[in-house]
Amino acid sequence: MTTADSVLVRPRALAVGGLGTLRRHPLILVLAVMVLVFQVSTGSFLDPANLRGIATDAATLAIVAVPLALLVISGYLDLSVGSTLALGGLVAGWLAGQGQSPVLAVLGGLAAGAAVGAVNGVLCCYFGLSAFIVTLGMLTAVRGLAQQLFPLPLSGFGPGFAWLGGSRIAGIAAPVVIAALVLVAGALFLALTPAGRHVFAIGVNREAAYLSGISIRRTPFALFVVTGVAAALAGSIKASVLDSAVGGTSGAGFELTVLTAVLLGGVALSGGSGSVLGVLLGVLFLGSLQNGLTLLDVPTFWQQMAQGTALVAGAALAHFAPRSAR
Amino acid sequence: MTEEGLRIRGLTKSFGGVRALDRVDLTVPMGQVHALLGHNGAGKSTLIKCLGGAFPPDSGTIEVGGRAYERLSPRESITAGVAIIFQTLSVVDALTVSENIFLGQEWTRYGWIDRRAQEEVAAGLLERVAATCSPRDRVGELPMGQRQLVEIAKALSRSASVLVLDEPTAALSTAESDALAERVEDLRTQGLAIVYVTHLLAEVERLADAVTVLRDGRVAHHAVGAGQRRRDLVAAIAGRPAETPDKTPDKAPVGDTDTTPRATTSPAAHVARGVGPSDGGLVLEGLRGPGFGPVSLTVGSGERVGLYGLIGSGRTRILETLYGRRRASGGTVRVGDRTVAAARPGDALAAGIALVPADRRRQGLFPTLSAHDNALLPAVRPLSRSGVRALGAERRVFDALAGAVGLRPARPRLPAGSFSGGNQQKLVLGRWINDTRGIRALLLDEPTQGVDVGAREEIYRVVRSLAEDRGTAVLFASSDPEEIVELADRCLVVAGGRVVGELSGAELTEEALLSAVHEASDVSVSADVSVSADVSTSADVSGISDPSDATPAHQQSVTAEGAV
Amino acid sequence: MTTSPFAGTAASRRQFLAWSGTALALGAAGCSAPGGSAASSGQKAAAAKGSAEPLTKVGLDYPFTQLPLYATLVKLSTAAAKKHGVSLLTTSDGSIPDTQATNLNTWVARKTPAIVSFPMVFEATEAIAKAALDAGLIWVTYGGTMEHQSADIRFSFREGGALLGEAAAKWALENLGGKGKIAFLTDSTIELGRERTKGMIDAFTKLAPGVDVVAQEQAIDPDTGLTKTKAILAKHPDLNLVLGVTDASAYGGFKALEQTGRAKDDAKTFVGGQDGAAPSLIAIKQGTFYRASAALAPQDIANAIVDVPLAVAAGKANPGVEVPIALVGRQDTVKIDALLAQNG
Repeated sequence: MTTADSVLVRPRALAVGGLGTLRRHPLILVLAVMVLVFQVSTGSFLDPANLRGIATDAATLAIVAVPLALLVISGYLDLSVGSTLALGGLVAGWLAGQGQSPVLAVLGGLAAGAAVGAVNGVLCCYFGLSAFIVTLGMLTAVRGLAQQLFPLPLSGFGPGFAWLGGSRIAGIAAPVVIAALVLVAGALFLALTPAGRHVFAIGVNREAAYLSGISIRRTPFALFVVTGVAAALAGSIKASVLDSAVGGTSGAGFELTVLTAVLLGGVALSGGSGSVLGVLLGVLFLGSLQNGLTLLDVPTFWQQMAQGTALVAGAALAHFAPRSAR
Repeated sequence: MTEEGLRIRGLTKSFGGVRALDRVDLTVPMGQVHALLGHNGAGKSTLIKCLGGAFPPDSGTIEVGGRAYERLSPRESITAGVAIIFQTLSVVDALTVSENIFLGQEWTRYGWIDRRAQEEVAAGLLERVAATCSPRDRVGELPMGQRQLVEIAKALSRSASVLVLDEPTAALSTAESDALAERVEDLRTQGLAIVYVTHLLAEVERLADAVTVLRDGRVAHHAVGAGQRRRDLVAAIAGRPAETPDKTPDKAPVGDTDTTPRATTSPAAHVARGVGPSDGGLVLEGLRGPGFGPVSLTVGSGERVGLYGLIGSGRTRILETLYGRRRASGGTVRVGDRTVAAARPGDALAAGIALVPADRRRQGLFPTLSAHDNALLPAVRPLSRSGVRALGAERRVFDALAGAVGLRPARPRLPAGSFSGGNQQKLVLGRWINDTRGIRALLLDEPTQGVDVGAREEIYRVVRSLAEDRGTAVLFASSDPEEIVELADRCLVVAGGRVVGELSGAELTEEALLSAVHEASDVSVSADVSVSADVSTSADVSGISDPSDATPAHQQSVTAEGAV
Repeated sequence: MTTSPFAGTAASRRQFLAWSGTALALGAAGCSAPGGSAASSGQKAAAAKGSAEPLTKVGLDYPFTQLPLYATLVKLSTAAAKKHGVSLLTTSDGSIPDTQATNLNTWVARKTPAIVSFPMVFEATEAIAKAALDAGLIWVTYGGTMEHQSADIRFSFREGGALLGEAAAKWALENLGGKGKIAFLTDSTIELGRERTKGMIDAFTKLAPGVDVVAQEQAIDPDTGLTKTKAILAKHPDLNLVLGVTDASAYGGFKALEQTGRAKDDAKTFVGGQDGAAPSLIAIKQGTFYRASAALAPQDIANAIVDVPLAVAAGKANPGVEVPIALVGRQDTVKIDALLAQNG
């Protein structure tokens, strides 16, 4: 009785240690083994410079993965984030290139992301259209919009704008700091706010949530908007890091990478279950895998095979592990 | 000595240190009906699932058709001749009756499904269970009782020798239940060993050749032979001296005295208290909506009013419209002095109206979320301070409500799905009994559907005390006359979407209810749905007619309107 | 830095032009040999067009709509067409071969008089090209040569890659003493990419065998270029050269080097790419260690897109064109400005 209790009682979102966490997130083990293999075979995987690189790359992924995970937990989905990322980065970069203050430029990019999210949210939450179809359509439409507005690559955004992607806060790259804030905010939201509970309830049983008097539209709508903003933020960071943005290719395929990280992290596509810790693990898994294969100088097509196999293996391990309460 | 169809010896099963089954023995000879009773959570479901191969037992043996197994896979279980008809049926709505019966064992000719041969055999099987549907009917369009018969026919097609029925009448109307009871008797005659899981003692009295009562995973009571005494069974199920007195069908339950003092309420006392719109109760005036109305009724503060009607009578629609889940097309609703036009549940809740829906699985429960989350969902926001959850206050509210409803086990982190049906219902009900939401009118739809006897008593006690201690107006719908008599101060009979009669005080008996509703069904079927009010008032509620007279009419109304 | 690392550029460009002249002749000859009947039917169609009525419409089917070059080409060739009184139609294939085939079939069915197409899969497009020729339409193959065609617009992608490889090797010999470490950002997914990759690597390794090739990683966009180069840098912090199959990927490599603390004009670092994309051209012009791009002039391509169909319609002999690829370095400011103007 007591053992069963202690496993179940531990607050999920905030627990980072302990056997229960390991049981709920077998990806920790997979990640550890993978890191070990990469370190032994390359000798440079755990170098601080390399880890910094992984963290910076994983940062943009995490920034979008957290709100997307919340959206998926509430039973929805956003496939348009790749294009929203491009649009947000282009708008922000363009504004910066026009001589606007970097802060204003980024805010402009975020506003574009919020607009895309709001359209998604209205169509999916208020009109009740299928999120899969709506956001798939928006993936194409927003990409078209980005290319129509910015047919040519933008570059030369200025030193102020470079701060977002290039500066260090207490020795840590700004994108990593932002990602950490997003992760903590996501975890706190789920654990400590009423809306966080509502997200789970809506995802598990929409009808029952509705009958419990919960606003089943407002919270997912807000999550769509936040996801759009997060994608635009990630786009702005990428634009800042690269000091360039391309309408046609920025963030192409990003939506599937993020979704992969989210699902690997144990968030169920059917809604109602998932945790921010899991999402973090999913993001780190993908980032480490890509980095390690490059370090090993694996030929392209072998890399693709290895990536696919590792994904399936990771998912299988997570599946066969004991199921968590959420 | 009869040949033994099923023999279970020393079956033990634990989940994470909790012993769900503890050396359980159960023997059912061929041609016998064995009733399995007990609280939900007593181990019945675990026993069935071990039998069906869903769980491997820790120890013990299961003997079917003379062969002993230490554990069964689902396929082995079917091959051995075990068929389990669960509460939630496993038929596929989109397929026809014969397609369902032959699902996974299709008859083929040249690689194509031999539809005609299947339908011929299906027709024979349907005849054997006396189902009235055709092999070509789509299962989704059939009434619940017929679907169940289809599932039984499917079991027979696999030459089952042991049939397990898990609360088969929970979703059935009275007439359907009677029909099912006849089928069970037929099947017994045909030599099947039948395990009949139920909460209804009347069914035990009618059908069982032997009874086993489980409590806390152990066999608490075992008796062979018909004529079980209710008092003994209730005592065995509850594990304490019976709280409810032995009731025999011919005895009017008006004088029903409860040994729990707080639960003792004479209906007359409530009427005497004075019921009016000004005392904070619930008032409906000419409420209309698709498929029902106009309905006018009053539930006084502290009063418990039952809506009695068959499936499809519109009782669920009335409650759901009151709660804002369905849009009313006319009429007014008042709670106290306030007029409520609920466009969605949130509006109704803001006005102090709450609903406990009938379909717990679809409309009430969040099975993967914790008990805490389930019970406190609507309270989390009101309790929170500046947008942050007040975890301490939440815990105190949970503990208080878990104590009030008698939640077992009172473990806040346990997923709601792993609670028994009765305790799940307590969680759903618990949402509305804390102080964070000022609930002035509580609506309950089939408050104890799929709930065991013990939990049923507790739920009644909670509802009574809500009405008495807090003055909550309680309006509940039920198709179980026993429940109406047990819980209601006053009962309104619903048929064809309108109130066709009222019973209270000494008139409120199971017999009166049954006859009222069957006569009303006759009226509602013969007349159009839009009959004027005089038809409903003309319904005579005092005469007692033979319920079987009403069966065809009732069936017709069910098929016409479907489940609400 | 007074001695330009591109001392050989002019020479090699001359050499290239001369070589491509030969290639043109060879191409024309090679074209007529296997597909004689097709060529003749093409010529016949062209002759018919030429005699009957002037060409009023040209359809440009460029599948890679996500590339910046697409927008530039559409803009420049629309303008070029206008000068000849021709209107330009475009497709939106979104880099999907199936969509491309559908769009081309539509054009053939609607009898768009001249089609300039960059087939994503050459073999799969032969049937459509044949149908176009049979319908009396002009078919111009872009980026290669097909069996069924009226004429073609060719690029020597391998030569472009070789130009870049040679320039980088020369720089390594002069500035690193023929030692050091190089990483290639490659593409093996489409024919164009494979040719560029092979030209670049072969030319470099032949001329500068002493430089260590530490990585060959698939990357065509800046994001991937950045990620991969960062990973490579973690293992080889002393990496000297990054050559990209596209300017976009090389630009990612450029940013990765910069972000790991390389000074913008570090004398021991060389980044080069292919295409002549605006961000790279700007970086080259600013005197950074992004030192070279094997650039296509969009205006040249746009002119060819209009001129080749017109030449076919007018019945000219050898109407096909090979668009030159030129290496652009720091000192080519005029050329850079011209390219930037075309892009903008």
